[in-house]
Amino acid sequence: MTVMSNVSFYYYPLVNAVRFSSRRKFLYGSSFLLGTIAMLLLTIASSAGSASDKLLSSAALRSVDVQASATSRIPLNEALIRTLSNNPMIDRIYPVAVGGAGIKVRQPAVGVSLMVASDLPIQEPPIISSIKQSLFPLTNHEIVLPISVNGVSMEPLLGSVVGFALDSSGGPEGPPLVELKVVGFYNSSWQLDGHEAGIVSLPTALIFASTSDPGVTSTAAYIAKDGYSSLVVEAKNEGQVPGLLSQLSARGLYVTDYQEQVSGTAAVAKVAKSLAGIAVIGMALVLFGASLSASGTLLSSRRVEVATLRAIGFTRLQVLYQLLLELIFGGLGVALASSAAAIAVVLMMSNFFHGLILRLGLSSVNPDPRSVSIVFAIEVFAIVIGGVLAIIRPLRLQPSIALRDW
Amino acid sequence: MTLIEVHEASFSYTGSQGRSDLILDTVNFELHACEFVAIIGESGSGKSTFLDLLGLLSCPDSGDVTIFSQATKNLGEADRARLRRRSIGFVFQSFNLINQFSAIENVAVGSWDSRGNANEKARNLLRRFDLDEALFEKRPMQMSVGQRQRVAIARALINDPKIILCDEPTGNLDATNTSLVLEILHKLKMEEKGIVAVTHDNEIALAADRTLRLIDHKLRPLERDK
Repeated sequence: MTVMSNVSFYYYPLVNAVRFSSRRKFLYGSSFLLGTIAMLLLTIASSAGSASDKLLSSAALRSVDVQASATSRIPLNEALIRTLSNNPMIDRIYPVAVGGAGIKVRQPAVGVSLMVASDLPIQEPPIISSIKQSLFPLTNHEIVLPISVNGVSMEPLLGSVVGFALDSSGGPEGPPLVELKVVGFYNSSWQLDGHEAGIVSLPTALIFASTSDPGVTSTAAYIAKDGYSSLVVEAKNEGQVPGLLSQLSARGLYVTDYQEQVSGTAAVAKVAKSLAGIAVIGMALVLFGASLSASGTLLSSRRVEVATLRAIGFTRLQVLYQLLLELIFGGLGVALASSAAAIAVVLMMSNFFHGLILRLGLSSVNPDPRSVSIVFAIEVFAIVIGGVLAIIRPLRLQPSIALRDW
Repeated sequence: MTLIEVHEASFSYTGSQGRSDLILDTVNFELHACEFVAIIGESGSGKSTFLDLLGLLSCPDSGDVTIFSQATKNLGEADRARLRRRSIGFVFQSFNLINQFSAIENVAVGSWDSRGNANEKARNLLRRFDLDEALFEKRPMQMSVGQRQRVAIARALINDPKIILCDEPTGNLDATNTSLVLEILHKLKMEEKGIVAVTHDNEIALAADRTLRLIDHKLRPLERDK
């Protein structure tokens, strides 16, 4: 096979791919638009999917919540934790402390009250990832707030050290403060309970909890006397949860499990993921069809050009190489532009529409390399295949006939 | 020096219903260096088909076309393309320039030289045909028809072929541009090239060294040459 010269081998297809005719504009424009939308949908689907997977795989499914109860009168203290630790069905026990607090907010100039709960390692709330990726476990001087409390946005507090009143009445006028740094926010709509709880480390939560009992002088004394607010008891596997519930109830403890709630929430996320997946498949089909059609129209209208190339000395195979390269260059260009646009839109969405994102039940929407890669591949594939199908006929046509028809 | 020799070549088109239409019947022809041959004939007489045979774009059903003493009947597509590229330049009535390319690119695209050389050769050819430098980067739609035809002729010459085949080279040109193209063809003939022009244009027919008429599927010398 003759080696083609530099001028024709790369230059011709590159120039053709770059210089836009009206049909090429349509092809590139439609592919760009559809590709960008498909990438956005896939990104949202992927975010919904990972939220759903996270919930389904979370330790919550094998956990039992033991609540302090006036009726049971059994304090959830260290002695009880030691006893329960001997149960072969129990993997781990997490003590939880809950106390009341008011936030002294300058802007807006209102006080809001919220609970302060120790973080639950089994059920990490969906954190808005643009703030901080790995917040847990929190240090003693940090707090993660709900994105809003009583309709007041907490966002302006990010990164600042905020004073918290040590009583449950809330508001800015409370007595001495504990100062905590706001390090993140979570999507409270995903919280199973305690929708207006600031999440802090266990020792910090105990400070707040112990103030509710004026008789105690230290957190240790508080635990010994009143006990923790609740214990999260993690079974070794999901199947043991019913048995564990029975055993703990038999001891007179007030117990509930998370399974029903978590499964329900995860089901919603799974439905969202499926719908987004279907939308993306539809989008991919439309993208493929549009590329196929536009690429086909584009190339079939160039039969005289193909014939001319053959008349001036190109073989059929060489023309095919040229057109293939042109299609690949064009496809890559469009796919790169779509990817860049989709990433930009996703980042904009993350920054400006996170309220909506939270309503969709997603902790965040970030550019997803997998989604971008999938749509990238579909776009290039559709443009190249569409073009190849369209150039078969002009290539097979005798140049003498093609040139005569002109 | 004989550049092309056509020996007893016949050609028929087979229609979609299987009917065969004879276009050329045992045609003989020779083209020599420094010769300008015009071929005239009625529309549909087979002039362009004959040009396709000379340019190796079609194969005769019988007989053969010999280029530089090389028989082409049994050549494969790639070999025919290689021979065409090396030895034959085409000039079309509709110019067939690539719209998205500039004048320079249209000329250089046919080159089998390295890119830098191709561009330089293209530039020199365009200069030679009195095209303004400002037009070199313009695309065909931004040029007059005369300018387009000169670009098309430059493209035909980019690989310095010995044979130039022209299909109605002045068919879309006014009198001034027709004279200009004739002048160019005459100069090319002086450079030891052989030129075949299929035409309806009397001016070209009169300017040619020989004029042949395609009639009744045969090539016959025009009366004036007898």
